[in-house]
Amino acid sequence: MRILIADDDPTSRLLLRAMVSKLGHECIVAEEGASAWDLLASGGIDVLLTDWMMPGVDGPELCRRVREGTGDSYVYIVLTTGLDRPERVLEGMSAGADDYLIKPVDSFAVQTRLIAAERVTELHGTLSQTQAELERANTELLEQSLTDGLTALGNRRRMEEDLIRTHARALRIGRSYGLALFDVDHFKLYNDHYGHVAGDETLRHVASCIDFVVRAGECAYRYGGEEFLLLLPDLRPSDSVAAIGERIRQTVMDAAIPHVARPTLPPLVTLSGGVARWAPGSPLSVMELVEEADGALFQAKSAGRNCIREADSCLHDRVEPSTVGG
Amino acid sequence: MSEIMSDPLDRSQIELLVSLDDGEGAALQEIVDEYLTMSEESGVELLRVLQEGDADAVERAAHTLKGASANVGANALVDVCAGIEAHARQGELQGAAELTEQFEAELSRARSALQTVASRP
Repeated sequence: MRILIADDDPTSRLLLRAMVSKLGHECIVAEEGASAWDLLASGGIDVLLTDWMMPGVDGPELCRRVREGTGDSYVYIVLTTGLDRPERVLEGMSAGADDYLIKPVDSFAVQTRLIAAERVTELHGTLSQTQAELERANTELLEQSLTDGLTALGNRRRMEEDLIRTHARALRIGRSYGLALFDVDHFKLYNDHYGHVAGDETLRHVASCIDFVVRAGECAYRYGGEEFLLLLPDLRPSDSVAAIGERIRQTVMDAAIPHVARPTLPPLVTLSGGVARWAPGSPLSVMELVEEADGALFQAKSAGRNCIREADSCLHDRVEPSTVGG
Repeated sequence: MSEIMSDPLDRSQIELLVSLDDGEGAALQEIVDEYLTMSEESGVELLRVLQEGDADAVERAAHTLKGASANVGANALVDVCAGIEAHARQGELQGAAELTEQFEAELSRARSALQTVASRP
C-alpha cells in the first residue's frame, strides 16, 4: 500500500516511516496538515497515518477534508494521539478516522492497523469496480430495452418516447417534423415461399437499407412485423418528406432482393410508404399524424405498391409555407 | 540515590528502534540524531515561554517534547513533560515552573544517555 504519514514531530515521522517501510509498504511523509492535504488531493494514497496536533490543518480537519473529497478510492485513516486525551479519539473518529493509535506507537499496533486497512481499501476498490460494472450493464440493458432484437433499429418503445418528445419540442420551438411509414410489399407471400428464416434475413436487409439513407438526427424504428417508421425531427420548409421516402424505396429496390412469389413485377422485395408532415399551427396530435401516414400508406398499397404517397398534411404545409417557422 | 542510578531510557523502546534497522543501523541513528537536535531546541523554547508566562505556548512545547521523548524511550522526561503540560493546560504556570529543575535534570540525563546509544558502533 501507499502510506502517507503526517506529523510535525520529526522523530515520530522517522519512527513511523521505519515501521511502515519494514512492513513492505511505500511511504511518503508530510511535516504538516496543509502539505498532507496537497498529497492526498493528488490521489493514489491508500492509508493516512496522521497526528492529531499539527500547526495549520490539524488531524481532525484533515479527516474531514478526506471524507468530503470526491475521490473514487477510499483512504483508510489512522489517527495517532496521546493516551491522556480520550475525547480526542472520539472527535477524530467522528471526523472520519477509521482507527487510532496511542503514542508512542509500537510496531505491532501499526502492523495490525495496516492489515485492517488493506482489507478495507481492497473492499472499497472491489465495491467501486462492481458499481462501475453495474452502471455499464444498466446502460447496456437500457439500450437493449429500446432496440429491436432482429433489426437493431429502435423498437416500438423507443419510437413512442421519441415521437412524444419530438412533438413536444416542435410545439415549443415552432419547428416542423415528418413521419414516413413503410411496409414490405407482399411479405406474407415472401415468408410462405422462402421460409421465416429468410424472411427475418430480408427484414434485416431492408432495415439496413433504411438505416443507410437515414441522416444524423433522424431515426428509424421497427414499427411491428414488416412495418418501419422513419422520424424526421427537424424539417426545413424546403425539405420534402416524400423525397426522403422515395429515396428509401429506391434504395430497397436497388438492393435487388429476389421475391419471385409476388403476383406483380418487379420480382424483387419492394416497399410501399406513406408520409406525413406536422407544421406549427397544425391541430394534429402525434398519434393522429401517425394515422395520417398510415392512411397514405394504404393509398400507396391501393395504387399498386412500390410507391410513396403523401398525406393531406404534406400538401397543406406546402400550400402555406409562410406558416412554417424558422 | 536510586533515582540517580536508574536508567533514564526505557531499553525496550531502544530495542524496538534497533529492531527497525535494516541492518545498517539507519533507523536508530536517524531517530536519535533527530531527537538530539530537536530536544535541544524544544528545551530552550520551553524554558523561554515558561519565563514569559505564556501558558498555551508552554503546553504546546511540553506536548511536543513529550511525544518525541516517548519515541526514544526517555520515560522519566516524558513524565515531567506531561506534568508541565497538564499544569499549563490548567493555567497553573507556578506548578509548571516548580518542575523546571527536574525537567532540566531529566533532559540532560536523557540526552547524554542517548548520545552514548548513538555513538555505539
